[in-house]
Amino acid sequence: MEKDKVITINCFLNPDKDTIKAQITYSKLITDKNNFGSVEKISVSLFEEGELVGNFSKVDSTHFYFAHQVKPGQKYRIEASTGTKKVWAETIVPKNFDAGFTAIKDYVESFDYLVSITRNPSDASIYWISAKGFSWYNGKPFYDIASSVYSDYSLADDFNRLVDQGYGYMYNYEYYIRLNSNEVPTDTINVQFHPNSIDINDGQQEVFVLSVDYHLDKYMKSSILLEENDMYAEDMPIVYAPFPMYSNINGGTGIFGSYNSVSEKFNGK
Amino acid sequence: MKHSLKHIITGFHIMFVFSSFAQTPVTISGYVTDAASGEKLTGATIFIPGSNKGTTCNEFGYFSLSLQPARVKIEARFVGFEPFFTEMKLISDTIINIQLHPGISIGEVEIKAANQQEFLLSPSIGVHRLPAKVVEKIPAVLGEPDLLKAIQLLPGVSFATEGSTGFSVRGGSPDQTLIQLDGVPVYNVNHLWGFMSAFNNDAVYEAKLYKGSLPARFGGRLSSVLDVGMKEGNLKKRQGTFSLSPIAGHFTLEGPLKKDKASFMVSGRTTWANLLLLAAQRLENTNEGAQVITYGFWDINAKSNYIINQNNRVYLSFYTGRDAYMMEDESGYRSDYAKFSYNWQNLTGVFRWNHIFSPNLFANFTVYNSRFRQEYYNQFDKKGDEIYKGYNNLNDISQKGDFDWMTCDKLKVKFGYNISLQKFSPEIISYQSDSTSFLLNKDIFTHNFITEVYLEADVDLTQKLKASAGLRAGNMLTEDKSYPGLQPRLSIRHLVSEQVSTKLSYSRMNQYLHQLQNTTLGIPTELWVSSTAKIKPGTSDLYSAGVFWTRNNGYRFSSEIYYTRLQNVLRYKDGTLALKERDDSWEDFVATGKGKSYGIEFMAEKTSGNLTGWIAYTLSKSTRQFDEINFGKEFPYEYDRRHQLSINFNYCFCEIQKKGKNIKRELSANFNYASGKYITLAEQEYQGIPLPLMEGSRYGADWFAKRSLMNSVNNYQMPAFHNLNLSYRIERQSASNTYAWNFSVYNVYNRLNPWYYYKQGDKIKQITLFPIIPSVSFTYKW
Repeated sequence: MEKDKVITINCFLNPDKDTIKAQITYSKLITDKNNFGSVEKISVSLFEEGELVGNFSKVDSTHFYFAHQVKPGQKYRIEASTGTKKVWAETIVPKNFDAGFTAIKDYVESFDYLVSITRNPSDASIYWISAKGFSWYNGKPFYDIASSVYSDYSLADDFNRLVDQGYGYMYNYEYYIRLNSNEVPTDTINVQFHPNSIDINDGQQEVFVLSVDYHLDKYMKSSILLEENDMYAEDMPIVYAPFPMYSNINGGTGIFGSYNSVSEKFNGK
Repeated sequence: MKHSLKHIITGFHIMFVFSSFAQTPVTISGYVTDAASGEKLTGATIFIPGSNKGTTCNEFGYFSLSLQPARVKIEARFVGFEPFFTEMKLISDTIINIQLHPGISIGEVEIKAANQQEFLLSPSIGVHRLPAKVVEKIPAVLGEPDLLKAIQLLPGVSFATEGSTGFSVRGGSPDQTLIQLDGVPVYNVNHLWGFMSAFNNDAVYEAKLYKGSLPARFGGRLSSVLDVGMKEGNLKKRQGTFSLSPIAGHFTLEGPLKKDKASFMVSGRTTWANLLLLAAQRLENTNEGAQVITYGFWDINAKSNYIINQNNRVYLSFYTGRDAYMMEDESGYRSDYAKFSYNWQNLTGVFRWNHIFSPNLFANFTVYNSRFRQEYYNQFDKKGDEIYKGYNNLNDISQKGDFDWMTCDKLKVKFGYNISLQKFSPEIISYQSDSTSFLLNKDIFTHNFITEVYLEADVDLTQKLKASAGLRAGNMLTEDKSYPGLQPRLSIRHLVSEQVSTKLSYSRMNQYLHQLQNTTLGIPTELWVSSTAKIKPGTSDLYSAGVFWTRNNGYRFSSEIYYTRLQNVLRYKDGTLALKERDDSWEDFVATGKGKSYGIEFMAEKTSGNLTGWIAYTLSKSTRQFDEINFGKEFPYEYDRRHQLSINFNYCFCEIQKKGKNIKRELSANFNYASGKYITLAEQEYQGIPLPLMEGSRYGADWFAKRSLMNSVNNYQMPAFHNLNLSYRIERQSASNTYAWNFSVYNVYNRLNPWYYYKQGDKIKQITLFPIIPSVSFTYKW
């Protein structure tokens, strides 16, 4: 079994952060109840536009940090080597973009928001829209992502969409609204939505637009799809066809992706 | 004087020689039919005792034989019928229509004649004939005889999952078998999610599976052809059949519209699984507004034929069938009301005209339309104001002509043409509500225009060597892209002795349309798509060789080896659901690759006597390779079953007479073994990372923390499959009617065969579908 274990790298790049975190572990059998094993004697390096920027420092058995702020539009490569095995992946950090937010309607427990994104006509971009706020769970307040987002926006990807009327909207998107700027004919993308299961009266809400790279986009989409399908796997296993999770790690598995974001905070009355 | 006598004798000799050269061969031709019903007897043999001359009837029961003018004896034979003898003086072309009477017992000569033709003497290799009467006797789940499940008992044929009608022939995928009903392709052959086929055995006359040498008259698929012929209807008298099983009911009515001139046949079938399902749910659901699930299917076969005159006959056939699944929920947590339904439907219509141009030139012209439609439907309010629908359509309109030219007894030629127009409309989506409506992909459809011609010739090269050579040439035009192709076919038979022959064959095939499979079960959610400007047609090369041995007491043995090479086969890329954008074409999410399969088959059959049946064993391997899947590495194909064994027997007890009724009893047994099926199953998992904004989230925290790792496609082999099935049939026949009871037990020793595996938490769970199942069915004939 030792020789079949696969090195897993999980790392997101975000130009808003001045430290890059990477988590590196081994895979394990599903019957193995232990934690994921650490990879001993592994060196991890970061390259920017083909030039070595530096090496990650090991913080604990599975976490590696590198103090560096990535730049939008630049190409990055991560390499991890044990001496006998090397895994690597690349990502291009999405460029900066403009987005504006307006609270346009309020309900008892939340606002409706209007997000306006200015398209970059020369680049195709993938945007993921959602909000974070407070909700109560087991007697405690929780700062969490909205469990779903209601909207009438029909040009969004329908992979996580249900036709489910609520708050005066037609559709219910699980966690995020995902949209591809190539499918929007106008220069400005306007999306009005209502985040579900977070309550403005319990505290501040923050609305986000993420611009993600190709690899992170596929990873997020396959994650949500597999989570939905796993529900059916337990109820109706005969129609469940498992499919592989997306990964861009060469020689291993996991994800090395990047995103850029714009957000705004809103307070309750 | 002596000189004069010598000259006179010489003169007579010269006259005799010249008169011999001057004799023009004459042709005897006609139809061979069943005297009781008027049904054609395809494959009946006609021969001239004392000579080496003989022939067999074509698929319409027509024969033609060239002979020298003389007084000749003629014999006609067919298994299960009394032989026919006559003697006549042939001085010109003669038409003789022969009616054979059903026989209770057949002698050694009939057995020998039946065994020799096709099995021994024909150059065809890998051909199996399966009459409906044989299918009827094979023990089946819930007492429902099924043609496609019977096919799976033949060597070289492997099944997807237990109980499913999906099958693979010599490593090909299910869509690589051309399944046609009366010459019309049927695009979906499944009822009941694949547990029953679309073929009502009561309406079927027989089926023929071609898996080694595929004659040039067949094209469009890469691996094999299953040619199913419907009954034509009794030309002599009206008769009917009505039968019931635990899952379905059938009826068939046939008879003359005008005696010996025109007939009809109508056969219908429906399931009452929906009634059983509803009753079970009512017992379980005591709350109002609970979820209700229903499922039902029906199908109808209808056929009519009219004999205009000796040289012209016309046939009209029709088939339609529909499956409907529906779920209605008034208790859902997401909304107050939800209704989901999924339906699929086949519709075929065909008109055929047989015309005899001359005694040795027979033609069949066909015009047909074959359609397949899948539809799913979502309704989100009780009034029906908000509806979401999706459709997949396939429409095929074709015209073809097939000619049999029986030039002489040593050379028979077939030639013909085919013109098809096919329209594919995959993934059309419509949405309608009070405030908005949209229609997606309505313009994403493909038109194909296919034109093909073929020529095949059966030639006796020497007394022991016979060859069948053919060529199929054609072109497919789609999206302004042409795909011309040449498909040579060759098979050779060497007669080692009167009872042993060896054969070799090669076939090149092209396939212009594909079925994309998105489940591991082969259930009917699969999409038919066409080759396009981006996606090339598939091609295959089939090589086979075999030894064939018959014995006079009804035994026959065969052994065949084969090698198949496939090019341009399609498969969805890994994670297609995640990669696909809305409105994207399916073309961007399929990978093109290749496949190969090879194996050896053994078959021993007993075709006559009280005990009949066969034993079939196959040792084989089948793989696929795609550059974009499984890191480009070869992997086992889903239908790869290393070993397969099938043992089928039917024993007829002696008939007894009791109170004016004829009582027949039969016992049938069937044992199957197959190596485990390959599936993709995650045996490992790896650490996940929360998605952006989801750090510390309570939603799906456990789920997002670890992900399933699938190292390789079809990495896991399930345990072997085996079961034993028995059935006992008792039939009481009087002058006016017959009724029969069939008692069967499926899976006699209750083997819990794995039907599917899935991961639940940290465990691998098995689903078994069919434990021991006894059943009773009843049939009434008048």
